[in-house]
Parts: sequence; C-alpha cells; structure tokens
Amino acid sequence: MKFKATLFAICLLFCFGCKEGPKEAEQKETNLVTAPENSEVLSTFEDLEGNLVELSDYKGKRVLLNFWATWCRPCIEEMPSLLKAEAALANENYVFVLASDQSIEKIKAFKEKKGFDFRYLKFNGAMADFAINALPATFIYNETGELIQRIDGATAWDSPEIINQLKAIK
Amino acid sequence: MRYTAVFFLSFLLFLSCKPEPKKEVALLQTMLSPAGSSSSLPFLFSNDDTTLLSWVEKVGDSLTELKYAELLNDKWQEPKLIHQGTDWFVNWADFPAIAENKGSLISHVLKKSTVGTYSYDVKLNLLQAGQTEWKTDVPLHTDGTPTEHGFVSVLPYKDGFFMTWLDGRNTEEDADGNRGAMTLRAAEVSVTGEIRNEIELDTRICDCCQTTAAITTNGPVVMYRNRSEEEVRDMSIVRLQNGSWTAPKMVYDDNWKIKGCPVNGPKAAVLKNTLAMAWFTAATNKPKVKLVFSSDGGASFDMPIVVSKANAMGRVDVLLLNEDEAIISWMEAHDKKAQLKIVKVTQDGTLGKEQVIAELDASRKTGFPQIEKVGNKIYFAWTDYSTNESQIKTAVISTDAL
Repeated sequence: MKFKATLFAICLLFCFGCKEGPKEAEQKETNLVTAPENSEVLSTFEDLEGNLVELSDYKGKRVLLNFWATWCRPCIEEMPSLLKAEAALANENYVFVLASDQSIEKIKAFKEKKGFDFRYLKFNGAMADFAINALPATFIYNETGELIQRIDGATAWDSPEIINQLKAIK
Repeated sequence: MRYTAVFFLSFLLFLSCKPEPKKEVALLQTMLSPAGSSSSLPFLFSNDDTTLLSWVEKVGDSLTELKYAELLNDKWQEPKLIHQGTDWFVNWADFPAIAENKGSLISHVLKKSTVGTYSYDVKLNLLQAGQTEWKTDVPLHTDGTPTEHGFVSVLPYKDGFFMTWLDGRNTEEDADGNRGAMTLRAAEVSVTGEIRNEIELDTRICDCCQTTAAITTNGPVVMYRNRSEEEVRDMSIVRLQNGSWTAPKMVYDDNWKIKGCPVNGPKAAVLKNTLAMAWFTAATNKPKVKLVFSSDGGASFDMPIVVSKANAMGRVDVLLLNEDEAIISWMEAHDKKAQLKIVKVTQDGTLGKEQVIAELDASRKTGFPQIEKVGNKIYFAWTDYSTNESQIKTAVISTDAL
C-alpha cells in the first residue's frame, strides 16, 4: 500500500509538477512575410463624394490607376501628359483613376486650384499594400482586372511609345 | 524491484523537470507618454547631458502646438509648450526637431510663407540656458522665396548648433515655366539665433527626403538622398574638412533610378570618427534597408550590410553602441499592417536577432519612429494610430536584451 501511494505520488508529480509556469513576455517572432496577393483588388477607395469604390467596379474596362500626392512634384508634373493620354485613349475603353491617401478636402482643393479634370479617388489603404516605394506609381489593369503593367516614377504619358503600350494592353 | 521502479520514475521526473533552454525575452517596457491626444511627429534627441522628446499636438481644426519633455530618472517629465501656430506646414515626414547644447535648446517649425500649401520657411525657436521664455520664429534662411524649405537636421556644435536643410529657393517657376532643383544648405546657429557660415552644399538633391547629419572628430558631415540628372536617387555625403566642405560623394551605388518621391531619408549615428548610416533603397523595385559603417568619419565606407529585404518600408533610425556595433530600427510591411523592428548589426556584417517593437498602421500617419541610446538603454518613440486617433507612444529596452 505504501509503495502504491509512493508510486501514485510520483506519477502525480510527473503529470503536474512540470507544467509550465506563467509565461514571461516572450520575444515576438519576426517571421518574414510575403506581400499579400491581389491586395489591390481588396483595397478600398472613395470618390470625392465619399462613395466607396473598388477596383472591381471598373471590371470590363482597362484601368490606369495612378497613385499621387499633392506634395509630390513629379506627380503633378506628369499630370498634363496623363490628361493628354486619357484624351488620346478615349475610344480605347480606358478609365483613368488618380488615387491619393490624402484627405478628400485636400484632393478637392487641389482639383479646384490646378484644374486637372481627372477621376480622383481617396485611397484608404497604405502604400505598402501596393508595394509602392515612391510616388507617383501607376498600375495598369486589363479588362478582366488583371494587373498587366506597373510604372514607378513620372512618365511622359502622351509619348507615342507609352500610348502604343497602353493600346496594346490586353 | 519495487525500489528500482521508484528510482526509475524519480529519475524520469528529474530529467523531465530540468530547466528548458532559456527563452529569449524582449524586455521592452512601455512608458507613460508625455504627449497628449492628437499628438504626432515625435523627435528624440539625446546627448551626454540631456534626453528630449519633441512632438506636435493638434488643437481643434487649425491650431498646432509644438511641445517637448525631458527624460529624468527614466521618466518623461511634464510636457512644456515651445510654440503654437495656425499657419504651420505640418507634414508626416517633415517634422520639427529639437537639440540641446550646454543648457540651451533649439527647435524649429515650418511656417507657411504664402497662402500656397507648399511654400514655407524654417523658423527657429531658441531657449537660452537659464531663461524661461522661448525666442520664436527666428529665420534660418532669408532668401524670401515662396518655396519649400524643410527636412532639417540639427545637432549641438561648438557653443551653438549645426543645422542642415533642404532649400527650394531655386524651385520657383520662372516666366517660361522652368524651375531649378532642390538644394542642400547648412549653417551654424548661435544660442541666440545668429546665423553663421551659411553655405550651399549641393545644388541638386531629392526634393522629399529627410537629411541627416553627424559631428565626427573631423567635423560635421551631412548625408542625404541625392538626385542625378538621370534621376538616380542614391545616398551622398558632404564633409567639412579643414574649414572647407567637400564635394558630394556617393556613399554607395544602389542605382535607384526613380523620377519620384521616396520620402524616405537616411539616418546617421557617430562615435568619434566611427560613422554608421542607415537608409532605404528600392533599386530594381526591390526594397531594402541597408546599413554602412565608416571608420574615418565618412571619408570612406565599408560595404553596406543588408538589414531587411522582405517588405522593407524604410523609415529608418540608427544608433551606435560602440565602434563595432550599431542598432538599427526600421518599418516593415506585415499583413496590411507594419512592424517597427530593431536589430543589432556588427561591423563585420553579423546581424543579431530581430525584435518587433510595435505593430503599427502602415499608412503615412505613423510617420518616422525614433530611437535614442541613453546609457545602457534604448528609448523609442512612435506614433500610434490603432484607435484612429494619433497618439505618441514611448518605450525602453535594455541594450543587454539585444
């Protein structure tokens, strides 16, 4: 009996004696992560009236999505050529969208002051969602919503080369 | 037999209960932040005598206040108001700085020079040792052009301060629609606000990235994102040597060609003539955070050490633990959010274990996190936006934990 009691006590100790104590604040893991796939499809935009807009709303059209900011001089410098390209592609089923993460008020004020007549959107995400490292950054989608081309930095959008490239987007 | 079984079980118990390998513990301690609600744009300064945190707070729709607090006995003291204004240019990347020299303080704000959004001047605020009233709105530059001026770095130097900044005096559009490039300038500022030895250091640099500076044994150095005629925007350095500034010299040829605004400047730390610089590059669209050491005050540099290449966002800071070891902080994208990370880097390229200091909103609202070393502790300040309200948070970790 005494032996069984001893054996039982050891087994109990074995089961419970080694359970973990209160956890200290462990060092956080630093798992490297990959960019979320198709994050651009999930991102949310707003038009200047505050209506929610998704890129998928433009499905069936070719989309030129240009990220810009009012403080970004190269962004503003390329806008006249973007307007010309938009006009040149008027019959090519394109929609040009200019997205900024600044406030709607700032975008409206910019539109009023500069007079560039674009379809402006407020971007509610982070530039990192699109892996944008510098502004401007432009993403071109085909009619099925597939990202076909990405152009980082300002470009002469009305140049024949670029116009031809945009026309060739399938 | 019975005793053999008891012995065996006891032995098993002993073995199973032996201490597990010690888990590494991040001894990060959050601190009571001196900043109030709607606070942002933290800036940390530390020298042998003083550690300061400055920031801005929005009051209502139009008023902005610049405040600071001193660290004493590991605690932030009561915040003090430096200045307030309704005509400041308040920007997530172009934030006010503060510095101390022999009891005198200097800070700056960006004050709009016209009704235009992007015309503003650097205005200095000075508090002489022993005085209680800040002298405000002292001009740093007197070009009078309605252009951008900012991205200031300020350090104690001689009996006053060394300052460097981006100066847009040549960017005003002429009658033909042409405009010049952003320039880099520097000056010495006395504790009373007298400007001396103002000079243009580079005639064409990136418009939208922070500058950084250090006072080496050989003299001041300034590092910044340059801009070539071909729109290559890599890091350059200029040095004050024997009374003259050197010509701009590339620190490393990343060859990041981008006709755009990275808004991601470098950061430097110095210990005598050991200089460390951290920076962000996205050459060939592969974002990386790098660190480089120099043992001769920036005259030459070792090969860069890549610290982060997985979703690196940049927004770096750096400090030196000693002449061989640096601590670098940076932001990294992580599942629609961002992480503020740090790691110890040795001059031979050895990287320690990365530590995640905070989970942050990945947008620009979280700005540029700050780190400073005080004794054997590293202090952090960053802007938290997790509750959709801007709030500066602070924390501290022992260097032994890294």
